[in-house]
Amino acid sequence: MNIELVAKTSRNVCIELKGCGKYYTDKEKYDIFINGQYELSTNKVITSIYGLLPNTDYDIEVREGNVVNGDKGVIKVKTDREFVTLNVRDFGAYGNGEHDDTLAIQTAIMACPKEGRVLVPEGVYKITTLFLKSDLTLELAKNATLSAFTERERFGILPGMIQSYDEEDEYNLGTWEGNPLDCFTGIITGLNVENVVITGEGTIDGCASFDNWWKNPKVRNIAWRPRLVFISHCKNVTLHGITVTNSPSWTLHPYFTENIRFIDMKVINPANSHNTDGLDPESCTGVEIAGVYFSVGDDCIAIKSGKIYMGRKHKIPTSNMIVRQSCMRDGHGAVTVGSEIAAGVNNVRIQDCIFLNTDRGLRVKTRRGRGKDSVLDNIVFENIRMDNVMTPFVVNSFYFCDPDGKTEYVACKEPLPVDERTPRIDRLIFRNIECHNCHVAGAYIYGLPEQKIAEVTMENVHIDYAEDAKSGVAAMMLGCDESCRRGIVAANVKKLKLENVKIEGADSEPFELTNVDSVISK
Amino acid sequence: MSDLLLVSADNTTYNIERAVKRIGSIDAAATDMWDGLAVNAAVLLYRKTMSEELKEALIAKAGEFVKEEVVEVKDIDCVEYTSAPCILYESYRITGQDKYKEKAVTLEKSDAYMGMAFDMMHETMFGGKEHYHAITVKFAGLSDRERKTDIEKAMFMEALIDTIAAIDQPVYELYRSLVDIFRTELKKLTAQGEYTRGVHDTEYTLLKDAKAELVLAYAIKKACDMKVVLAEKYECIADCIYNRYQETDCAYTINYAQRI
Repeated sequence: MNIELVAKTSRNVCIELKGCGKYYTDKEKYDIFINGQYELSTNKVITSIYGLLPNTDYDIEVREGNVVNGDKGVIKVKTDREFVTLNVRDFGAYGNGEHDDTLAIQTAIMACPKEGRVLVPEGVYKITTLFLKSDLTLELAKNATLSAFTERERFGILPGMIQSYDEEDEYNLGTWEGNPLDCFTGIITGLNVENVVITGEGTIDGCASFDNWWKNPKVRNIAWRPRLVFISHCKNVTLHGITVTNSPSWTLHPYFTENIRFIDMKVINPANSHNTDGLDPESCTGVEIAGVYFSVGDDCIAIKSGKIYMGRKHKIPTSNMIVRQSCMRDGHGAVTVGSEIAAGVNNVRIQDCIFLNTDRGLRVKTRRGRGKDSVLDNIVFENIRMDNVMTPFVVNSFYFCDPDGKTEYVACKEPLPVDERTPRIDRLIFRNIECHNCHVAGAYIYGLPEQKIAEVTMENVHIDYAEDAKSGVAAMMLGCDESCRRGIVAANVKKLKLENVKIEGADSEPFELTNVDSVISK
Repeated sequence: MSDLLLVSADNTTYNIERAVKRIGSIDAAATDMWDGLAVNAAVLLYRKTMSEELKEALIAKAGEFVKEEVVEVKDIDCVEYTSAPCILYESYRITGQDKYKEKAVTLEKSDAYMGMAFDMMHETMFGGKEHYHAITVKFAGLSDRERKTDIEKAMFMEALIDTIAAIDQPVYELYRSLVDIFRTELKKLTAQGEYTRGVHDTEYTLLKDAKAELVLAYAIKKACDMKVVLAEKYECIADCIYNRYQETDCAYTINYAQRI
């Protein structure tokens, strides 16, 4: 068994049991030994070990549990050096679930030197917003909770756009659904910071509910709702181990950020909460999501690059992104691309993941009007297991969003002229994917007639249906009616490559192809 | 001071009594541009102060507009600025009563730029915003045409800022297209203006026609409040113009932020 190091700090390491499963291990459990002593058991491919000491060598051995001469692997790790630990209690934090500990914790953060660590020990710390700074490690210990106040008047506001004095430029701070609009400061906010690690076994709880942030969610009230974690224009940020929950709106929102990692985390919002996407990387490059468990009220992961104004102005796609060894469940889409993708999305790989009980597996949402810079290319799904996903693959080029979403311009199924408003989808690749207990359709892939999807590849894809399959609408577009147990529905595609695609139990023809220029089938 | 003077949360005092009297003086059967501006200012004053007296005055006048068969708008120097839509939409917003909405939607839409703000109001409140793009395209086309008189120049800016106020910001690219037009046009006007630098302050003259200049100042003031333009640079221009004309009836009509 190959063990790889995923991440480390001065006090913990995160390892990956290579080839041992998708999010959960194939075997029942694995036992972890540190320097020969039993430490813990795990059933997750990506697992963290806490409570280590700084600048120390460790031999970490992983053995298949309860099996003599079972599979095993070893890795040697040296933890990072640590200069000092700043315990927030020493800075005046109470941790009693009542006192406003924002200032105390913020003081510790601002005082943290390089190679230092801000420690939030066990307790419930009430906060509004904490701002990160460069060269910071913030650790939430086991049973430590940063618990947010919910009175919106307590929060700062990030103005959407501030005009420069010479009136030639502008400064964007706030953002809401792809537009530069006033929003409340995130419960954890990073603005223009580098080299930040937030780690530990603790929790950040937004405390959102239908009595506060989720009440009238589509109405701006003073400003738009805060994110739980908002990382804007930052570099080299890692979030590891923590649980984030009950977010006021999108949970994790990296925005115009380079090199950001989300490792072995839990992202949990109630299934009926509004707009509580799990993770929305927007105009970011170098995004890694590994070992993360999502159960949320909207899309688990939604990849974005802004609406028209920001997309056209900055032209920064989300690119070079990998999602692996993660579990997405209960949300609308497991991995969604769009709909705010005016600057495009490219080089995205989703591999070795499980999708459970979501409405859709892969979901692409776009429409006329997103603009010619909205190019989606090289999006690869590989080694995925889906179970009880309503429709595994949905590509919708007629998504009826925004005020003009239901106009003739957006909805027209006849070819319109290709112009500066026309988006493009190039290559989508689906490989080694098992989709069990589907409901509505195996795939619903609908390109624009005037700018067809360039290439869709499906290799080793197996689809079967639930016995009690429910009907539903495969894609949110005008003219897509409710259906049940449809096969692969594809329209307006230049090249469709099918190799070893099995559809078992469809009520209709296994392949319904319209306006597909070339079908290569093996 | 009158009982109807209110001190708002920012300790600014507003003359509600004067605003109430001005609204009361409007003849719903035949309004003119100054009536339209007075209504516009009163609505803004109400939203700022939440004065019950001003609210009652606006709703009472809206009731008169509802009863009028035809609402005639007199033009001044070929410029119209209608009162009815603004007061009807605001009364609907306050009360939720359909009679105001029903009357507002029967009003003939103006092809001229003066009517665009009300078209935008309608789109935002009732129209599903589907025609936002068409309205912004119209404005973009208008900005290229030469406006001959000072009052036309001023009323264009006034109509534009009211259209910006009415558009929903989340349709950001369209909102920004209008903001950019306003900024460009304001720069042209200030570039053509005259400045007399004193010891402590600067006197600004942007237009020769005093009434037109007052309307322009009103539009600039609103733009500063809405952060459409930099208040640091432009509010002083608006204040200078107001101070020059503050004793005139027109100033009282439209200085919704008048301090006592």
